[in-house]
Amino acid sequence: MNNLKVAIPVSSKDDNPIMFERFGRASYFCIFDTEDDSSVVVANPAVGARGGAGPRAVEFLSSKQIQSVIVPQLGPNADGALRAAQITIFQGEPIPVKNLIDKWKKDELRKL
Amino acid sequence: MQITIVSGKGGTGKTSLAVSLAMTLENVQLLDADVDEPNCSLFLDLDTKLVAEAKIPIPEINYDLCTLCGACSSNCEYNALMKVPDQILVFEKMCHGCGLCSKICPENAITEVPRTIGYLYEGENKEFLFNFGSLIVGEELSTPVISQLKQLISKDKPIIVIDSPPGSSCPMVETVIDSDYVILVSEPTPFGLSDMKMVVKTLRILEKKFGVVINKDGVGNEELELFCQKEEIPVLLKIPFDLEIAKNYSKGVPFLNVLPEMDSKLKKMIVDIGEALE
Repeated sequence: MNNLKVAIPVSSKDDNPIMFERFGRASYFCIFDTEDDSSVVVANPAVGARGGAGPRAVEFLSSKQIQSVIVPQLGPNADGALRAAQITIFQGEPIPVKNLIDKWKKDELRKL
Repeated sequence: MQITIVSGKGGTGKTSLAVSLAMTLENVQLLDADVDEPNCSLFLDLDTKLVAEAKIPIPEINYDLCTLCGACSSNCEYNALMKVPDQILVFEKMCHGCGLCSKICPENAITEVPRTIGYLYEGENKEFLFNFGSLIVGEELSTPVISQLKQLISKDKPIIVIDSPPGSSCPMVETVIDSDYVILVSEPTPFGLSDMKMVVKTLRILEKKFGVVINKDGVGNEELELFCQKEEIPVLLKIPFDLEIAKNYSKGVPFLNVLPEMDSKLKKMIVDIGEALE
């Protein structure tokens, strides 16, 4: 597998948080890198946006060279932005991110 | 004289008062600025026609010049622009038309193109002039429609009555900002009072002269009047809580036609307001 980065919205910097149920308004993104199986948690700059948090979050992830996201539900703006940014979207579920990444690695998540 | 009728809570009687007040006056212009839900025309027996489109300028990117530097998107206050690796996305409905992006683009790659977000209408019956704005369903920005509606204010009419959207946010502020006097309609209920307090705060920041009309007088409690006394806000008029008013309202008949004594009371209120402005 090529080097891939996948992002998941989370609400805390804890070791293994559960996926947050909103995308653009998540406090953080957990970014997992397949190159070395490492993960980092970064603050989402769009969390306090008055409007347009979804697209702003996508712009941020795009600037971080993210290729895939695992998400809860998405608004139409965030959805359009992710597709325009050529980021692959996978349907997540509210379970700990490590379990979610395992499922993603085994190709068990539905591509949206 | 420009008089705007506001309320905190919706459904307190702005439209009823605006229509009845305008009908008692001669050579008047009535403006329905509640562009999300304009309904004065339901109470008026006149035909209206489309006179203008309300538009806001939105950015268009010229990719022959754009270097994808991202200055436009990172400075957009409304997150209407977004940079992805090969293009700048424009989220039209997020755009407030401020024009900043076109001014700061270092390559002059952005031009502004108009986008229609609402329509403006006009109707006339002898000396009664009526205008209203209507926001297109699905659009979010009522403020620019209101601002463009106000450009239709006639210089020939001595009195302009404006029906404002409810609440105390931007659309209401845009409606009252250049008014001479503001009439605050409230109902004497805890909910009515709570929302009214926010409007009072807003009007004081805007340094507007205003008074209160108590509608549905007789329901609720005394708190509203006590608040007005304490805050030294004049109570201009009381409209009784009356089932006949409600019945006729549902048929599109304003309360002026139900309670004929209101004619002289409304006229007196205008005289009182004129004196307060001297």
